[in-house]
Amino acid sequence: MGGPPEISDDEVLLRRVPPARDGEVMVEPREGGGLRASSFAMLVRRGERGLSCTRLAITSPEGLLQQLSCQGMDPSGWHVCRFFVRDVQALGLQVIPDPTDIDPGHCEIRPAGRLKFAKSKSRKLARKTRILTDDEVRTLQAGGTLTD
Amino acid sequence: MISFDTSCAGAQRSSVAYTQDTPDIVASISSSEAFSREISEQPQWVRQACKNVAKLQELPPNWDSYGGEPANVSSLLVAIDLLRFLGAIAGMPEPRVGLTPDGTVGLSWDWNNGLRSLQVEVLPDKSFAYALVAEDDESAEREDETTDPSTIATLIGR
Repeated sequence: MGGPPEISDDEVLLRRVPPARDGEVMVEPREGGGLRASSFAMLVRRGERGLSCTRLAITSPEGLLQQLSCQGMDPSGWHVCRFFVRDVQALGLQVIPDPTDIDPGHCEIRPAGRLKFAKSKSRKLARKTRILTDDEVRTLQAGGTLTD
Repeated sequence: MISFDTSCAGAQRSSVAYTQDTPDIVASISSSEAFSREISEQPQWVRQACKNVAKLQELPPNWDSYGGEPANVSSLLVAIDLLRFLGAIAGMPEPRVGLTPDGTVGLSWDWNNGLRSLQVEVLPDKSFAYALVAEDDESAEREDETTDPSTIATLIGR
C-alpha cells in the first residue's frame, strides 16, 4: 500500500531514437524483420540511475515525438522503438514509474539495488527493441493497438 | 565556446541554434598529409570509420533528447588512434561507430549472427571500457576497462 503502481509485464515501453546521421549507427536491421535500436541508443550516462523511457499505456509514440518540440528540436526523422516490460525484467532490470510534467508516462529502467547499468544490458535490451513504422505511429495515435 | 538555444512554446516547434567554436582538430588531423599517407596503406574501412568518428563532432548537446553530451574531442582523437591500430591488423573487421550519451566514442562489432558482440567506449584518458556480450554463453561475458588496445583486438571475434 502506498508503493508505486504495478506495471504489467506485458506493457509496452517506448524510447526515442535519434535520426540516422552520416556514418553513425542508431538503428540496425532486426532479427525477424524491420529495424531495431542500436545499443548506442540504449546507453545510460555515467552516474545516471536509469534509462529513460515511457509507457505506451499513457504516452503515445506521437506524443513522445512531440515532446521534442519542448526541447527546441524538430521531430522529423526521429524514430520510436518499442520493447516489453518482460524483456526488461528478463535482464534483471526494473521499470520504475517516474512521471514528469512533460511526460506523465515517463519511467526509468534501473538495475536492482545500487548495481551499475552494465553495457551488456544495453546491448541485450537493444536487441529486444523494434522501431515502430510511421503507419504504426499513426495507428496508435488514432487509438489503434500494436499487433507485434 | 558552445551555445545552445532551446525554448519550449507548447506544441510550437522551434529551431535549434548550435555553434561549436572549438577548432575542428579531428578534421585537421584527418586531412593531414602524414595521416593520409599512413591511412592509405590500411583497409578502406579505416578511412571511412575515421571520417565517421570525425562527424560525431557535429552532434549538438542533447543530441539524443535525453541529455546526451556533445562529442569529447579527446575521445575522438583516441578513437582515431585505436582505429588506425586495429586497421593495421590483418583481417580486422569494420566497427559500427556511434556517440555515447557521455560524449565519448562508441565502437561495436557483432559476430555469430549477433549472438556475440564487443561494445567499446573510448574514454578521453586513453582507456577503453568494454563489454564482451555472449548471448550464447553468458559465462564468456566480460566487462572491464583497459589501456591496452591489443586487448580490444584480441576480444573481437572471440
